[in-house]
Amino acid sequence: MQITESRNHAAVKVSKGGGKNVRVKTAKQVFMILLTIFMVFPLYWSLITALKSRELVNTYPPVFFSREFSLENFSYIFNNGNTMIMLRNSFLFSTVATLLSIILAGLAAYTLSRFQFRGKNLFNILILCPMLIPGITNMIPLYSAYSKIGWLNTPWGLILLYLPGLLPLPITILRNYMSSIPLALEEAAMIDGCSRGKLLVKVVLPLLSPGILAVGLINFISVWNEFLITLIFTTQENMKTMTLGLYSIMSMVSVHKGVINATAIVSLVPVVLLFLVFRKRFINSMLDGAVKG
Amino acid sequence: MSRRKLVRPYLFLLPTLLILIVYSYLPVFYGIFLSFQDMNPGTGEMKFAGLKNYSRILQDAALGESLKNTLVYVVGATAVVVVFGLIVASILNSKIRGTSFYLTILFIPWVLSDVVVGNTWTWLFNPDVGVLKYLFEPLGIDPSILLNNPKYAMFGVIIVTLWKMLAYNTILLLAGMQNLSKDYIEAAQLDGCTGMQLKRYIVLPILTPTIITVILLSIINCISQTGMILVLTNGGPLTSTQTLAVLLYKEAFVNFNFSSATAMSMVLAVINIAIVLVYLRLTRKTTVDQ
Repeated sequence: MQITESRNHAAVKVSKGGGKNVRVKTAKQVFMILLTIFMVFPLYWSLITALKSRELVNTYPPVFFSREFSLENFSYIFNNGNTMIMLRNSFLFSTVATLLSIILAGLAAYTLSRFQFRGKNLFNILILCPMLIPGITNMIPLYSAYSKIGWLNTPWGLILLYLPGLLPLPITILRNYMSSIPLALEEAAMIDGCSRGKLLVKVVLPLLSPGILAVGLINFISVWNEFLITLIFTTQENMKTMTLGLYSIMSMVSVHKGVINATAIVSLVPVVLLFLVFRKRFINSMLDGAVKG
Repeated sequence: MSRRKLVRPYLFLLPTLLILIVYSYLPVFYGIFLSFQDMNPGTGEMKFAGLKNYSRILQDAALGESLKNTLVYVVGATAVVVVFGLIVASILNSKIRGTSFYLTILFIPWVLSDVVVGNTWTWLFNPDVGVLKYLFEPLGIDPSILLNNPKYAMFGVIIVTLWKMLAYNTILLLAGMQNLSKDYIEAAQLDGCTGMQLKRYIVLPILTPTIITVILLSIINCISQTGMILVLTNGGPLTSTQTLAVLLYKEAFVNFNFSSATAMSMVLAVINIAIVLVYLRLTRKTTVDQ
């Protein structure tokens, strides 16, 4: 599905008076501009705060602009504390979980769209049913199991916990994507004596790559942002992600708001950049998965 | 067909299936089991407790209050998000300039973590030096009560939920509107249908299934919303924003009272399942109607 500005109401407009039409259009623009301010101002304020020194942060009335704005808070957080370790963990967990989820979801989507087999419907239902159970409900049994087998504070234990949430939507999106690719190419490769494994890597994977990119993006962002699972299943400093690190300094009185907001900005920049670069693909695949899923 | 060929689809699905069974299905059954056990938080020793955990949480006033808070939050946030989603989607659907710019802006809060969202808004709503307090001072309003006064804190949480979730709901509704076939509208116009009539009798009925789906997704999301409320208010001030999900998180991972918490989590799951079942009923009806 593409986002196009629909022409559904075009004819309706023509039948109305010209003056009213302009007024309606202006009202709509005004509404959207106010909404844009509501959406952007909070982040703008966080960014401004990140540039303030300890003294500037707590002045009232608040300072909107000052020559004393500087990057000192950013240099502080990179030179003190665990910022580098937290960034490394965030990148590591997000990348590994995303790669694993793409392999699993890709295989499942391929199978569901190209094979006929018994139990296909059952599998489709099995993918959707976890939606019935609130995430927090499963956390207690999993925690109690993890603490028994000693998997708390382990990277692989954490990544496995992320995985079930990263599969259903990507399977739906990739399956829809597969269905739009003609079978002929694969059949031709098969006739030429291509093995199934080779077929997957050399034919299916390239065809599927735009879908994989979209799904990878969504999953990477969702693991990067993950909070509750990481909060529950990790206690050690060296396991903290950026998201968790921000949470733990947020409530510290000793850390001033400039440093806290600088940490917030550092933790949001990678995902916001990824989103901005790929925004079209991101939004379209959100549409796709949500409508058909 | 060779045996290998028969087995292949199952082999490809096996890893996904294993993950789902171990991490989604088994925990549900283990959770049901745990909710009937009395667990010693220190040693992890378990004793069969029958319905003791359930009767204990039902007698606890905190559960009733958290259910009330959950209801207010779910209904309030869903109403606000769906109404604003409809307004924004219909504006974006009407060919105004800057549609893709607005969509991009709308989506930025949606790609942020609960912690960034919570940090941003608690700072805006800061009761001492907050910028909103300053900006609204000339109007004689102090918006900082929206997170810091037990009477109004839930409103604040709902506003922040709107900020984060608006994009997602808008895009679903926009998709529904763009799927709306032009033929219907043209036919209605030939019959002399105009502006509001068109919206009321043609667009709305066709859009109803999409709206119901959006409402369901919003309800499900709000019922399990834990992280954002934890960061924003930690369930407070007092217990004014302590929904069931937040209460059970604290019971389990702050007080480490797993026995009560699993019983609560079963209550939460049952509510969630009941809502999805109602949804399935509703959608079956609307599709039959058409």
